[in-house]
Amino acid sequence: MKDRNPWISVIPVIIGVFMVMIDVSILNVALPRIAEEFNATASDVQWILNAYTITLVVLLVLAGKIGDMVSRNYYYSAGMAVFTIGSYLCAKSWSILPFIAFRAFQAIGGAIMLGNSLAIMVELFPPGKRGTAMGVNAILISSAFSLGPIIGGWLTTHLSWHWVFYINIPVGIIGVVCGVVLLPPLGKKIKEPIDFVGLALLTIGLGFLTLALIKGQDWGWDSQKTIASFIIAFPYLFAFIVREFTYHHPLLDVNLFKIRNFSIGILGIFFMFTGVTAALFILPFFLQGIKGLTAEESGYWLIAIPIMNSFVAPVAGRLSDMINPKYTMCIGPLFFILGLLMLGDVDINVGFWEMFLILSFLGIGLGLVVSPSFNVIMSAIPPQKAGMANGVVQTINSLGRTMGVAIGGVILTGKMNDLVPGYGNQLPDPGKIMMLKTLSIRGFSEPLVLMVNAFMESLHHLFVQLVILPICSLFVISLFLSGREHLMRMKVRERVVKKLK
Amino acid sequence: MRKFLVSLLILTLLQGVANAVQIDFHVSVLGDGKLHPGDDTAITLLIENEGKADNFMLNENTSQLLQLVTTAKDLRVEIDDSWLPIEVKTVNPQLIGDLPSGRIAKAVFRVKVDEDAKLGEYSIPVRLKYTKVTYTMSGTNVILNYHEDEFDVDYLKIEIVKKDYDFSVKSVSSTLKTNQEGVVEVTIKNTGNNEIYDATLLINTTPPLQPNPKAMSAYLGNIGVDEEVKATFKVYVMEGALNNSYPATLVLKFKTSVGKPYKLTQSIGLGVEDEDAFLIIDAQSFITSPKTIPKQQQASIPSIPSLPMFMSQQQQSQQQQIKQIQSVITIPSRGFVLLSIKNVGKDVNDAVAILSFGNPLIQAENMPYIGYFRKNDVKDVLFYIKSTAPPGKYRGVVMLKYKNELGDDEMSKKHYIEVEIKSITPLKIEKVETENLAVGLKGNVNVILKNSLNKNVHNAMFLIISPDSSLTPLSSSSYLYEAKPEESGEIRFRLQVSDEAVSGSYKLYLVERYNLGDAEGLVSIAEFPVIIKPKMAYFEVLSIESNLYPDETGDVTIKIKNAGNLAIHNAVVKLELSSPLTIAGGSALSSLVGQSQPGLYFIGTLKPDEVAIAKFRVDVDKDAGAGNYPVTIKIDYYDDEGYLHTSNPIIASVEVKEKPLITLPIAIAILLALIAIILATRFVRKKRKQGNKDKQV
Repeated sequence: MKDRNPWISVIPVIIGVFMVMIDVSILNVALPRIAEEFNATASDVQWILNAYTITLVVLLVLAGKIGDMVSRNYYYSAGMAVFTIGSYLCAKSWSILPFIAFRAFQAIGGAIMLGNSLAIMVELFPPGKRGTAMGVNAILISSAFSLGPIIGGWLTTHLSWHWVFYINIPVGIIGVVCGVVLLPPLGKKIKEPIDFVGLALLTIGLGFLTLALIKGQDWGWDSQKTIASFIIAFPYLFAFIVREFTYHHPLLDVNLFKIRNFSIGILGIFFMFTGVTAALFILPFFLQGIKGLTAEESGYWLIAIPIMNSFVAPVAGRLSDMINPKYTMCIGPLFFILGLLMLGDVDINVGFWEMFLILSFLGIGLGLVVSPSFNVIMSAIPPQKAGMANGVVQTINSLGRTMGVAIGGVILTGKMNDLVPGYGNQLPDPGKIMMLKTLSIRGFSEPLVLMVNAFMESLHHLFVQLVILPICSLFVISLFLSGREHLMRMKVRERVVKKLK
Repeated sequence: MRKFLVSLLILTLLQGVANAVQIDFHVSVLGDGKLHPGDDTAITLLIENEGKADNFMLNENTSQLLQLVTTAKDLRVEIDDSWLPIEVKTVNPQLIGDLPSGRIAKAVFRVKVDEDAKLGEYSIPVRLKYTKVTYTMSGTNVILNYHEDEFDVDYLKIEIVKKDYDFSVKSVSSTLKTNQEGVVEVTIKNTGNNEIYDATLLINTTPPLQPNPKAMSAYLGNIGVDEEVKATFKVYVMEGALNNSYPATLVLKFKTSVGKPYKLTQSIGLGVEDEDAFLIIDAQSFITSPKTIPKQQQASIPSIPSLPMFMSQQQQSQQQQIKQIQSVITIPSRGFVLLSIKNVGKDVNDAVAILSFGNPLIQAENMPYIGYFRKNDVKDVLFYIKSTAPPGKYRGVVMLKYKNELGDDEMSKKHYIEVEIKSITPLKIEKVETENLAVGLKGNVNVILKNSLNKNVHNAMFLIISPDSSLTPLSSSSYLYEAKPEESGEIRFRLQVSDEAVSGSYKLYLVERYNLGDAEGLVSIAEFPVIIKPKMAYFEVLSIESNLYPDETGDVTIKIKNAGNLAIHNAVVKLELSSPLTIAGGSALSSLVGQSQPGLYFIGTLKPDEVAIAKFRVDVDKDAGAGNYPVTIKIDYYDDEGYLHTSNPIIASVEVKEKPLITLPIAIAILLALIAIILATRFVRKKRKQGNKDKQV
């Protein structure tokens, strides 16, 4: 195991993470075609997405915990196989209900992979080299969000929506083979029973929390369903925490949160992920709705974030092994704040390269924070609890992404309602803009002008408001993160490794 | 002087030779010379030259002169009728030519004897003018001399006597008018020498006069000499007669004293007046065109079995062919003609108005009775007209039949009126709406009618007729109480469209029976097309459930059934709301455009009789009160062939309830949360117990 080049061994992990993350966003473009083929209702279509996201979020902790109890290399490969089979079944679905079920099944595989990817990297890379690996992981996560619409749009346009899933099959098979062949044996660390009561409490709590965050915009934040979901979610999460404190073999070792760098790292990237997700959620509405780009084109316009992230994240990760990660993790939010402020003043006639420059700041900021954070988080916890920690990180990241969407929608529509009384809580999608353009052509241009002006003002307002998130991230990192502790821990681990060698 | 005296002597001698020739005439009449008063007859005169030549020296030189000098050359005969009761009608004088002595010439004169000529003998002077020839001897030569304008007067003896049997017409009075039967009163007098017995007077006429067969003869009995009697006849004057006098012949049949039948005739003239006693002051008509409707019928026609004994019963029944038989029926229209007639003649009784048409396709159904029609009165008469004639203008003939003062039926002169058959109907079809009228379905036809006349149309009954057997009226009649001018009304019918019908345009006929003013039971027929849609989906809203509260976003769940006969695809349910309800999320566009946007819900494919559930999120305004609010539901869908359709709107209501303190979702959530808290509490207790045990251990 130790003789293998970890960069070769990590290939199946990269493949897996990329597949899982890209599947979150790749399907958005193909949904209209899927709905058309299955004669699916709007509600059914929403559940195609929700089934994946909720299953993923709910199972991440459990998947990480199980990863700590079994041979993680086979477990990961099995997860990839489940994901691949799920993709195949989705492509071969005969009606909407099986399709939703297969999406949930696919998410089980996704949870196994995503919940163990960081843990595998921790095991593969020795201390001092994990930063680069974490950077790669950060690249995968952020780029998948931007590349999803581009790839999905191309496949749906030139082939069919089925290829959104078929494309996973060869990649998945290669991934499984690579997983079996390239991944070294990653043995069992702990042997303890699974806390099914805790799992049930977590599932209910996270499930309703995610549901409320996802559907809040649609149902209305003051609707009974949303409120009821929150009323259920928080007591169950509270009960889960109590359970984890009081149970001998907790599903989630809450004592991990007592590790300062673990908690601060998670909190730091939570704010960053929330911010970048809010930005990436709203920007397509600007690009497609106001500027009239297609989904595929808007994906290209957002590509600056993964590109810059790809450049910066490995470097930042590597630097976090060498210097106090607090420096890069504090510079990152500053870049992010700069990017958000520039977006807060973006003009409707903004060009591609101008937008590329603005989004580069976000990509750089994200890269400077995320990969060092992963490194700090995973280095702070005991190796035998890497899987559990990985699950927690991904769960909180997923919640952060979900909250980012919710926050973006709430702030934007809130401002829209201030400017256009009675506007409601719907985002200005391209179809709506097209209708207004049609009205404008027929001589009734006032609604279009009102809409565009209100949206642009709301957009500026949103990005200025989002600045609070990187500021929070900067605040907690700069005040509470202990970079020295991380460096010391790294040095100790390096010595241990050298001694073991 | 001596020469003069010698010459005078010679002339005297010569004169003496010449005067020895004398021409004389004898005139007599051929026959008995009796004429009758009033005769218009010819008399023949016989004229004899009684010329003589005394002392005529006859020798070889003069022998040929004898005839010459005794001939009356260029004889002309003239009857002098002045002062006489006769009148010569022919040429007078008449030329006879040369009349040698001893010869007799005839001259025929037509004379008219005065009716009142005094009976008796008359000497009628007959003037004879001629040229006389004389001669003188001069040696051996003879010199002839012609003496013109010699004349002689002779008297002709005639006697004017009565006929044995004769009559004269003393007076004729008649009141004959065109198109009427009039009375002719004739007074005759027996002008013969004898009494006549069993006399009957008849009147014969030629067109345009026509004697009434019942009153064309009059029995007069015995008529004494010079006795006058009166006879009355009835004569009908045909149409077209002018203000003129027309000839008639009176025939007097009688017997003589010895019983011999005898017949005398006299011509008379009968005057005709072409005046009418009635005037048509005003004529109004309203008649619509009829409709010829092709009628499709099914008939079972057995074909001729070739060898029936070898055929099974099934085969025989298969040979019964169902055939569509096309026939045509014409639905006549029923209109009216309203006339205002003024009597400008005499008062008449039992007057009846008659309207007729030259075209047999138009018929008046009634002959309105006017009754006593006083002079200068104006009466309105209403004719009901049944018509199968096409639209256009037609000529109607109006006549009045009445009884005159004698109680005889008389017909007025013909009056012509213009009657127009219009292609419009009084209740004009303004709009036709169909609901669910598609192949294999039962649907409604709503017809919006507008009164296009300036009169009230009331008591209108409607009957819908489908010429095509594919369309069967289920509810074929409708009723509209009243439609004022320019007022609209709606009538509804229900039709069944057979499964075998072909989608497309079909023609329906609407028979309208109505009262218009005083005219009742008028009939018009209108036609209009309806579109039979292809097999279509028809939707029924089975239920609407809502949990809507003021100032909240709630759900509206609509259960929709495809009650039609067509599977629909890619169906989208559209929910249209009005204030205080708005579609959640739809308010964005609504507020921008200023118009409420419908909510859309995709239900996909829905086969016949399948039920789909559409869910909508609806925002309720904070000021909304509890109650039911109207919503409109439409369904956009594609048929099997990929055509897009939109269903008819379905109006329903959703209920907004008073906001409860705790709703069901919140209550369930609180219950679940309590369970979680209880569990958490139990975990803590369990941990404490475990801790206590560990301490005790």
